[in-house]
Amino acid sequence: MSLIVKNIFLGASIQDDGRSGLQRFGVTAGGAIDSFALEQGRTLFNDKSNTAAIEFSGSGGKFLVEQTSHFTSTGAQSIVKLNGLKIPQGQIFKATKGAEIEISSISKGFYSYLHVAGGFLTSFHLGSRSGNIRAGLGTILKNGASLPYASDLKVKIRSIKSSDYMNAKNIRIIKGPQTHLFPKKLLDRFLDTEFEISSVRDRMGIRLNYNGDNFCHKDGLKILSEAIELGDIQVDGQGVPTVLLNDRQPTGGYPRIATVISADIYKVAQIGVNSKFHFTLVSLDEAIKALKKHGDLLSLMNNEVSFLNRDPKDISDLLSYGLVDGAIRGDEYDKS
Amino acid sequence: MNIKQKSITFPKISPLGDKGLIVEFGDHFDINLNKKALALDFILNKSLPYGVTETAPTLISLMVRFNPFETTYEFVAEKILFLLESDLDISANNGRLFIIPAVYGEEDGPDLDEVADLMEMSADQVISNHLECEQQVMMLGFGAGCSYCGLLPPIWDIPRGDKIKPSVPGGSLLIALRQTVFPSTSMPTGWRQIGKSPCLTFDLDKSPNFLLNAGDRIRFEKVSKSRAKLIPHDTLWETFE
Repeated sequence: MSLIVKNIFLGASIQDDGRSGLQRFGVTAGGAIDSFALEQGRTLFNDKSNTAAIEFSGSGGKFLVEQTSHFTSTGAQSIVKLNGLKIPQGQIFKATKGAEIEISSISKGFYSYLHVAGGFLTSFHLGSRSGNIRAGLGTILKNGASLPYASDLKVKIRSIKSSDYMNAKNIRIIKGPQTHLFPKKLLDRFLDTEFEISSVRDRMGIRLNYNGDNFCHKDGLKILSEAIELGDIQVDGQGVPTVLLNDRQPTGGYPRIATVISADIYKVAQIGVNSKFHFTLVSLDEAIKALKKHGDLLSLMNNEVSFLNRDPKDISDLLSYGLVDGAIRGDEYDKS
Repeated sequence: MNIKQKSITFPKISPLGDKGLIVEFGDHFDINLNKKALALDFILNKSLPYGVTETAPTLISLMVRFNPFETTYEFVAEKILFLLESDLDISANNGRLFIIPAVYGEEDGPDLDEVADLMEMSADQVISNHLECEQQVMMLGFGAGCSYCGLLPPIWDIPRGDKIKPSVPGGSLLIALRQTVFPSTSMPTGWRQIGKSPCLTFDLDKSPNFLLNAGDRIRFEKVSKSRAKLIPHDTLWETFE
């Protein structure tokens, strides 16, 4: 059985860990932009396999539940409603057959996720369900589509402590193969500049806004096309920097001034409109330390989860819990 | 990060993010530099160093990605420097030869006449010259299963077009800069289309999904439009099953 897409805006897709190891064939890994939020969903369901969730970018959607199951929402701050009643993010909720789930008003951050117990079981292409619109792989959400999932999974109602990493003020970068092509003065100015994310943003990359001159390098330099990494900050012919994300092209010919470190890549992608930030240059050693710290954060995520004790009056999905299952009249044994 | 290198500038190894590195063999295109990148790719993949997860050759460089929880930049870079010290056998990765049927000109090659003008030849001469050339897959990039093949003789050194076409179909033969770009999916391009093959080299239902690998060689074989219609798009897999 499935979740039916009733109303969706551009840019929503199914995402898991992506398809790695295929860059030599022209396919970048893709996968959830906010891998931390994806992991939160998996932790809540105590399912650490490569499950897939819906990824929303900048706006939400409306869904019809065809088969009773458990859901949760993580990532960018948004309003989650079950049959019109608000449900907190980071909390598992049960939606019965025929229920309507709505995600709306992404207010802080940009990428929001809807997880279902066991993950969505949409088509598997090259080892992943991740939607990549350019490559025509995986699933991009469209109105009327049905997104299958397993039914009748036993789930404990739990919630995870919210961790607010939206609108980071400081994003760490390291030098890359072409950093030396940029004059030191220009790199210094880049590090002094206050950036915002422009409206030109998608799963391929985010173009940056800033006041002041562009970051043109000598002669509008163009290098021979070479492999591009997640987080590379490419500077185009006009001198405008773009941070390249999961669905970037595998190769490119614009020089890259630096690369966002792996521990910060999902944070830069989650920065919302009008939120300002700086880049800070760190060493490769510091980047690796930050990555290990991030790894610890993921492996200890389970400590952030607790069983839910709620006041019944706050439980908008109360009636879906079968509260009187197993009740008896009291006289069943009297006759014997 | 100070990996000791000889006084020569190339090959140059630099970090690419915190999970990879790039080996650059030069700063301008040269087919021998491509052969070196392919040779290093080949020798690395014969026995991937511990922690190395993937490699991807491009025109004159090689990307090497690794798991930083299992190895370090320094370790992988040292390993590669060691391989580079011994002369790379650039004929080691000679790949397999694929003969690819293609229709030239008319609706399958709308830019053939323009290319002929730029090369100061007749369209027929362009076609026969293209058919004579055995080309190497120098890299895959831009899109899934899109091969960059070359090098064609110097007369093929024509620029890319001025206009970007919003979409050319998979199987197109696209020409510029002494190369044939042979995509497997439809894509936008500024390159000039002289022909189209009924065959693709990327298929989700085939094993392997990607037939061509960097290092393989290709030659085109001219077929008529009516003949091409009878050739299934996955024919090339059968040649190698």
